[in-house]
Amino acid sequence: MGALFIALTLLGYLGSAILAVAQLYDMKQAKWADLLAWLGFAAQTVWLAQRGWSIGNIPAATLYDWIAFVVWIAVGLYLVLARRFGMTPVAAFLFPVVFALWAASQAMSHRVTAELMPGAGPWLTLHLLLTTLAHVAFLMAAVFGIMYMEKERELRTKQVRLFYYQLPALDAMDTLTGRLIVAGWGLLTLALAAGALGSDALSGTYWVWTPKVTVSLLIWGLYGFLVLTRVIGRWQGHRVAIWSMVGFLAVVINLFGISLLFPTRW
Amino acid sequence: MKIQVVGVNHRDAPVAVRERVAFGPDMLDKAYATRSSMRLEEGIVILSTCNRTELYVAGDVVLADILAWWERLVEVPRGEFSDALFWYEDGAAAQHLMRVAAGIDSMVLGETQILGQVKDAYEKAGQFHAVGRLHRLFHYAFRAGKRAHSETEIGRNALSLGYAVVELSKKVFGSVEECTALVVGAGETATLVARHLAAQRVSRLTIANRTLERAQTLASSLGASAIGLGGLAEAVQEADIVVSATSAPKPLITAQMAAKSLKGRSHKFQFFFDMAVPRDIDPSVASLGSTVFLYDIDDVTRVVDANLAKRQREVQKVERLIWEEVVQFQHEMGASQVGTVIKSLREKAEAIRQQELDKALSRLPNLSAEEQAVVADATRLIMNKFLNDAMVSMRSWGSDDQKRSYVDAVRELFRLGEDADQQGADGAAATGK
Repeated sequence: MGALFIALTLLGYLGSAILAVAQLYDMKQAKWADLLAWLGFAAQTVWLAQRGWSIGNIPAATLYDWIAFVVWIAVGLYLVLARRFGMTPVAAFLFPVVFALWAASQAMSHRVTAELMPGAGPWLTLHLLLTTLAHVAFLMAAVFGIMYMEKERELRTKQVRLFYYQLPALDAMDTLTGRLIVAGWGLLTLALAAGALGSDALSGTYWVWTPKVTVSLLIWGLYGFLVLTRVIGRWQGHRVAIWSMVGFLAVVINLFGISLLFPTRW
Repeated sequence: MKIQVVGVNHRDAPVAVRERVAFGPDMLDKAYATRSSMRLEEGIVILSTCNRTELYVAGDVVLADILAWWERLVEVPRGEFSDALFWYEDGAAAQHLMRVAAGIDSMVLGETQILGQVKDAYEKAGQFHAVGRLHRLFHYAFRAGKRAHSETEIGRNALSLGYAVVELSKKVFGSVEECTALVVGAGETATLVARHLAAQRVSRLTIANRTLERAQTLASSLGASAIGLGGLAEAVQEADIVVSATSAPKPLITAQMAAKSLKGRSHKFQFFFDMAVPRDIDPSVASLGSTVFLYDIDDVTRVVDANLAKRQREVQKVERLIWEEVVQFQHEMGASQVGTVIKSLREKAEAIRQQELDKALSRLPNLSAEEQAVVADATRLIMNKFLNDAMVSMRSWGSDDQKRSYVDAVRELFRLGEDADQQGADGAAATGK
C-alpha cells in the first residue's frame, strides 16, 4: 500500500513539474499542473499519516522521512499560498526541485522509527519541527533566487522571452528571498538550541561534534553571514539570489553527501 | 435572415478614402433617419471610427441599395470608393464583427478601445430603434471581445514606447506607485513618457529641462515638480526611474553622476531609460552594478517588438474562441428561425383542434365531464402524433443554411404568418434592451 502512495506522489510531483514548466508557455496548463500537485500532495499526506500512525509520532525521525516532511510542507505552503498571492509561476521552479529531492531520497533506507534517541524527550521533536521549517524556508529562498536570476538575465541581456513576462517583479522576488533567509536562519537557530537541550537531556552534554552536526553548524554560520550582509550590509538582488542557491546547495550536500560519507543516526 | 457587412477599413482603404466616406456624429443621425430607403432592411448598425466605416445590415437587402443609400449620405459616388470596399455575409459577417470587437482587426493589435466603440455604435443604433435583428449578433460580439481580453493575452504588454517604459519599470519594481521618477526633457517623447508615469501614480515625478519654463508647463499639467538642469545630479540621486529624452549633443547623465547616485541610496534598484539620439546617458552606467538597468531607445523598441510578436502569437487563440462564438451564433439563429415556424405551426394546429373540439362537444351534450376529457385527449394525441415527425425533422434542420428554404416552404405550405412573439422580440431589440 505504501508503494502505491509513493508512486502516486512521484507521479503527481513529476507531472506537476512538467506541466508547471509548460504553464509558463501556455497558461491553460495551470489547472492540470495544480490538479497533479494536489494528487501528489494528497498521496503524500496519506503516506505520511500511515507512517505517523504506525509509529505514533511525527514521521520525521529518519532522514528519509524528514525529507518527505520538508517536501510535504513546501508543497502544502505553495498550494495554500501561491494562487492567493499570484505566485503560480513558482511551481515551475519548486516542483522540479521537490521532485528531485524526494526521488533522490527514495534511495535511502525506508525503515520506520519512532524516535532515534530515546530519552531526549520533547526537545528532539521540537528540534525536528524547527529544522524542517527552517529548511523549507531555505528551499523556498533558493527557488526565488533561481527565479530572480532567470528574470534578471533576460532584463540585463535585453532579450525578453519567457521569464520577463511570466515571473514576478525583481523587487518582489528579492524581498521574499531576503525574508525567507532571515526567517529560516531564525528557525534554525532555535532548532539548534532545542537540539542542544535535547542532547543535554540525553547525554549530559550540549554539543556532540559529529560530521553532520559540524556541517549543520557551518550552514547555520553561512546563513547567519547572509542575514548579516542583508540586514547590515544591504546585500540585495543578484548577490543574495546567488547566495540563497549556494546555501541550499550546502544543505543538499549535508543531507545526501555527508549522510552517505558518514552514516550516523541523526 | 441574412446578415451582411459592407465597409472600408484601414486594411484596404487609404485615409484619403476613409475620411470621405466616414459617418460623422451629425451624419449618423441622418443616416438612421433615412434608413427606410433600403428595402427589406430589418436592422442596421453603423460603426464609424477613424480606421473604419462599417455597415452591419440584417434582412434581404441587396448590396446596391446599401451603397446607393451610403453614397447619397456622404455625397461621394460609389465608384470612387467601391475598390476599397469589403463585403461579408452571414457567418463571415458575424466573424468579422467579432474580430473587430476582439481588437484583432485593429491597426494596434489587441487594443481595447474598439470594443467600446462597437458598444457605442450599437447604443447609437438603439437610440433610433435601428438594431432590429442584429441584437443577438452584437451580443455575441461583445462576449467574444470580452473573452478575447480575459482568456488570452491579446491586449497585454505595451505596444507604445511610452507605456513600454512603465511596463519595464514594473518588471523591476512591481508597482511604480512607490517610485520616484525623473523625466529629463520636455519634448514630445519626454511628455508622452511623463504622462504615462503620472497616470500610473508614481509617488513623485520631477521634470528637468534646460528651459525651466517648459518644464514648469509640463509639470503643472501632470502635478509634478520642475527643475532646471542645474539640479540634475541631486534629482538623479533621488530617482528610482530616470527617463531622458533631450536633444543634447553630449550625455547629460555621466557615469560619475550615476555612480554617486548609487551611494547612499535607500532603494534597491535604479532604472535608466535613454530615449534620446544622440544618447543622454553614458552607456557605462549599465555596468555600475547588478541593481542598475539601462535601456536605450533601441532596447525599448526591441521590447515593444517582442510584445507585438507575443500578441501575434495570441491571435490564433482569439480566432479559435471567435470561431466557437460564430458557430454558437449560427446555431442559435438557425434554431430560432426553425423555432418560430414550429411554434406557429403548433399554435395553428392547436387553434384548429380547439375550435373543432368545441363544435363536436356542442353536438354531444350528453357526454359526462370524464367522457369530454377522453375526447379532448384523443384530439390532442392525434394532433401531436401527426405533428411529431414534422417537428423532429424541422429541429434537425437547425442552422443548416442549405435547408433554409425548407423552413420557408413550411411557412408557405401552412400559411404561417409572423408570430407576435417574434415581433415583440424585435421591438425589444430595437430599443437596445
